[in-house]
Amino acid sequence: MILLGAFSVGLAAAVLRGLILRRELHPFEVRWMGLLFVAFLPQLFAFVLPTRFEIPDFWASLALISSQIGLLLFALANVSRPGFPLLALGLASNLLVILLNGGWMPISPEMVQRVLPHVSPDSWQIGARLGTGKDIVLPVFQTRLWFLSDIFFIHYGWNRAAFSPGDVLVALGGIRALWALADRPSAVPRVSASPVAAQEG
Amino acid sequence: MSTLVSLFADSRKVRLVVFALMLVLFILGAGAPEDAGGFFH
Repeated sequence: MILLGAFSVGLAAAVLRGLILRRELHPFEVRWMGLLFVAFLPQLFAFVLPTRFEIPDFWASLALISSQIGLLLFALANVSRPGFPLLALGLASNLLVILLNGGWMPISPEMVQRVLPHVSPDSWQIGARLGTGKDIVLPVFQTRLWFLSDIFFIHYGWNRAAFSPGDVLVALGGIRALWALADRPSAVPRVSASPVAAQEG
Repeated sequence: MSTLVSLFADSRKVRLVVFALMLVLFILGAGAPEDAGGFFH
């Protein structure tokens, strides 16, 4: 939810910028869009849809890694576009720490207690996946590249969340990409307009 | 309904929606925050 919050902030900022500068929002050209949708599918089944309760941890982890590799390829294919260097760097950071820690994002027991203060410690255990999410509970001293794991904490409204430096970069990249929607049309390669639209413009 | 039709009649708006959807999917797929809500799903 915190990443969707960042998306909302970026979208609001882009709309506001467009209103102030009196510009229409125009999406810029993005390559390999199909790869993005295909790459996201494994995560859809492993972490979003009710099928996540049926999928064994091994396959869920494999879904996460294969999906993020596909998403990284997509980001690298568009690295010259606004925001995509940050998106690629954030994703690479998350993927690296996930790969080095058994295929899951590490989270310390102390952080789990901060995020889930009302959940009994008996409902999770060190060395195991946390719920049906992307995290594994690992003490800091057992975590490879711990500083890339879920080390940040935020408490907003009734919700609490832990997130990684990679998540921060992804959020900033998303905001930057949305900000570019209100750039001057010549500043970024745009999706080519149809002849009809060109005549209208 | 007429609003929906006019929305899809404007290809720029359709491209904006697709662009936003693309970013949402990427952000959700690339990020790995542990959310208190996620545990109880």
